[in-house]
Amino acid sequence: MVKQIIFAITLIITLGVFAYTLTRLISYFKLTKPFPVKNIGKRISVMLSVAIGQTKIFRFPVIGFLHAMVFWGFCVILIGSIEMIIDGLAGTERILKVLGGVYDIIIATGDVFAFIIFISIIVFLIRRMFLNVKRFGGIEMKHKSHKDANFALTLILLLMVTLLGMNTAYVAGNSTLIHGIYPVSSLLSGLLASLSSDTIHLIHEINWWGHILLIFFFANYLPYSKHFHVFMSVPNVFLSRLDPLGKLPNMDSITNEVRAIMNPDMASQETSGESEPIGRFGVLDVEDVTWKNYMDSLACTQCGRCTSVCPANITGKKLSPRKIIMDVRARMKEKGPGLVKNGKDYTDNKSLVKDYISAEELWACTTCNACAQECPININHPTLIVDMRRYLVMEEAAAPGELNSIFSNIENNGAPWQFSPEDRLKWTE
Amino acid sequence: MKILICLSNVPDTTTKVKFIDGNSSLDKTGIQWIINPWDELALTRALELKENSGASVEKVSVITVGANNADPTIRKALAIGADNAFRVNAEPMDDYFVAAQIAEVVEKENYDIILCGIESSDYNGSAVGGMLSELLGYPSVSAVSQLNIEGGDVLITREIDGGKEVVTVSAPMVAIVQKGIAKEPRIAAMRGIMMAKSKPLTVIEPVQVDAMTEFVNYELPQTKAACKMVDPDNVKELVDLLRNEAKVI
Amino acid sequence: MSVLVYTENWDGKFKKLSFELVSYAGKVAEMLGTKVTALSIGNVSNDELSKLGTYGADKILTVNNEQTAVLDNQVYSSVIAQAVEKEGAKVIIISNNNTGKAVAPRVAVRLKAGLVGGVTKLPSNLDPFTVTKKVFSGKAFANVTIKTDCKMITLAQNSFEVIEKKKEGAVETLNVNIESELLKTNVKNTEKQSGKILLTDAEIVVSGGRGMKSPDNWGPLEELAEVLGAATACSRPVSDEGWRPHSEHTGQTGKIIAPNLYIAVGISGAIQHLAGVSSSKCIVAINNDKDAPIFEATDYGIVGDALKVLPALVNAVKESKSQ
Repeated sequence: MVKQIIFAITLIITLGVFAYTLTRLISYFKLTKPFPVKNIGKRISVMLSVAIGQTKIFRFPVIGFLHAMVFWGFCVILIGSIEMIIDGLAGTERILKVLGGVYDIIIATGDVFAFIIFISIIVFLIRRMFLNVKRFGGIEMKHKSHKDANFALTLILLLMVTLLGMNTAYVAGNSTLIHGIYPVSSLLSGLLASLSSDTIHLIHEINWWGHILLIFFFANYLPYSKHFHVFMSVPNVFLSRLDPLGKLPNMDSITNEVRAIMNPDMASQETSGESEPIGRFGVLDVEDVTWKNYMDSLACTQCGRCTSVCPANITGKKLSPRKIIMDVRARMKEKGPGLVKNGKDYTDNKSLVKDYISAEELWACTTCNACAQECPININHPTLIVDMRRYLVMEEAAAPGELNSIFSNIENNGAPWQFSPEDRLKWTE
Repeated sequence: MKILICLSNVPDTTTKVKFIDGNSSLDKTGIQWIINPWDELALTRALELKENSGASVEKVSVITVGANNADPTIRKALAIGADNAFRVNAEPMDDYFVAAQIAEVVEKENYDIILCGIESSDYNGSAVGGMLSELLGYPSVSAVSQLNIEGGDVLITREIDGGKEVVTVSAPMVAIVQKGIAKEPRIAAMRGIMMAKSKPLTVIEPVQVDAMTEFVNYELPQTKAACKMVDPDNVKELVDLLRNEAKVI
Repeated sequence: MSVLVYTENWDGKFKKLSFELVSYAGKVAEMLGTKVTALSIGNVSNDELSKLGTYGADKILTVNNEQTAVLDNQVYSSVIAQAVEKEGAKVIIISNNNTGKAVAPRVAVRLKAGLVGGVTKLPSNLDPFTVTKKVFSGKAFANVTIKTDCKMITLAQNSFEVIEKKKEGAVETLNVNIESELLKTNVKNTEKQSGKILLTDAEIVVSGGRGMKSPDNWGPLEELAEVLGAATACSRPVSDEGWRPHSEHTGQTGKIIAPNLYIAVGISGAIQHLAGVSSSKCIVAINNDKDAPIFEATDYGIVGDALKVLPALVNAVKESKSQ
């Protein structure tokens, strides 16, 4: 009974903290611009292949395989975690045993996966700490990013240790009535055979509490970590942009404006009286991004696969697609509270573009979309980069000189070059 | 400080010039009109000064002498960032005529610095700035390649043969500017184009002034003889041609 | 009735430009049946002044005051206007160089004289007084009539030859009255590069463009300029990139020059560049692209790799000099 009360209290605290985090995040989301979501059927299919099927993760085959193991393992172990919460509140033990044969399969799979994940995490940690992996570095990867990564990996390691510990103690302590099949833990149970049943029970309780408390802690740590993708990746893929990569939508406000310029008579008919002032063109700061851009930034794992395939980055330019996404998240963290408190006009005299992301980075992008193609959770960097360029060009005409010359030439000569329009057909001679 | 830029509405550089009416006037059909390149640089500099709070420029205006075919060019200047514009509704007959019309407007409106490009790319006249300054009795500095404002003084770098000279002149004054006054001409951003529609463009009727010169007629240059090509392995031939045929070395 | 020509001096010396102007003025005076008065402002020795007589100046006025030590447009235009009034000159000739452009318009307004700038030939007609100038950046010529009694011309650089015609050339000091508040230009400092041939004075110019590929390749080009006694120039992208100084940029928004010979190396021939050099007497291009637009504007051309052609050309010039 006491155990249930204590459990309920820890659960309530966990949920409370989580709710607070969630409320804050929602208030930031409210600051952003809309993004239409249609075609649910296609979205489900994309989610099943990219998110559940880990298709993009496998583009880096070996390490991708290990990650898929961890992900699928988590999915299965999730069921066990839910069971632990019910057990904790209701005072039961392994309540889902009522599922019978299905339970056996779930538990066996989970047990094996726990071991596989354990090995994988060791591999990941060794790789991070002792191998010099290029895509883990970069100007945007500060020391705290590495600490975050190692800390999260260590937590997962401990989660697996406690899960296996719990299962092993359960098998060792219950020689007769064992619910579920434990391929790995059964083998390990021999290690505990020589201990007294009280000790085995203690080991079980420690690991049980350890595991669930780590889960509670982990769940609340995630939103502040790069590992938020544990929650965010599947929805991020579900809600991702379905347009072909490289398709650039027209801005309605511009289409209307150009129509008005080309047909002044038509314009004067339509805009009789004061029209609504058109909002900012493009993206200057976090309040200009869509909610999907912000979601991308929360889901980003900082894996760096995007930057590793960016031709600009590979050839030494300042652009790093990962940095763009990380800067959005960091800037929202910085400016979000002020915007929520003081309203849309709040300014701290800084902006995402210029103070975080330089024009040089933005213009280095070739819009090849390699980054968007590579991202395992379908983050779309190029549309955001183009939106930031739109701000620079349409609000400030701050494009590189060569582009401004092209704009002038197209305006005056009908072509990007300085040749007379009368010579247009000269090439046919 | 208030800055006025005198704009000339000229045909685009790539225009193939043709003449009509017995070669007495320019054929304007199909011409794309632009802001005279030097005037565009002058406007860019003025806007840079306005954005630089240390220079205390409160208003940048533009003025053109031209018929209403100059309006799109003026709107472009407004889109680039000028605050308001004047158009004297008359064909620009010659330099003196244009200068006299602008002087009339300046006397009413009170500007501290007047910028003129050193030359217009259509009739290649270089006189409007100088004539304007004499009509107004303002000091002028020409061949200006850099311009800054310090307090009530204008700090100028002007090009002299073989070098440069830094001079100061106090406002009101006329600066006749050339290359270097701004790195590249600014172009109009979408926002600027939209705002230009609501900026004031005042059309003024001209005062009675007689032009002092008259463009009577035009001639196209004789078509150049085809280029004589010399073999790259026989450069001696080129030296011979230059020495004996063209007689330039 | 006379013709007044303002001859600028540089550190007390005249240049070929000054003699061209006097020669031109001499011919115009001949056409009008009148005399030529040359005006010099600044500290110029009598020996130097009398040189102007060799080229056709009947009289030479010299003005040298404190206030004329520095080019102040108002001061200079006042001096020129006073000289014109004293001489009763009806035709005033000034160069279309930077000083001329600065000063001539002010003088024109003072004297109510019609001004045509950048004239390229002797007047085609005396009544009505008609002169020719280039318009549309060299794409056409315009015949312009000056309607006023007093007429002003600025002569385009390098458009008239020097003609020796010995005249009396009597030097006379002119006393002028300059109001003190006229001098408004305060000179802070002056920077002059000496030694090299000035681009605007040079008779031969060798110019490099982006086709030279790198600033490190300029050696052969500078060598060619040296053996030819030429000044060096460049196209806009080259000066924008910082490969060559801005003072070398020739083109529509750079320096507009009219040398006797302009050699364009690795320059494609964009319209704005040509606008700066089209008045050259002879244009040669070296480019490895046979379709480059510059060949439409040249008198002679070589299609080849500049880095190979330039050294060969340097040798050929040296050889022909020694012959």
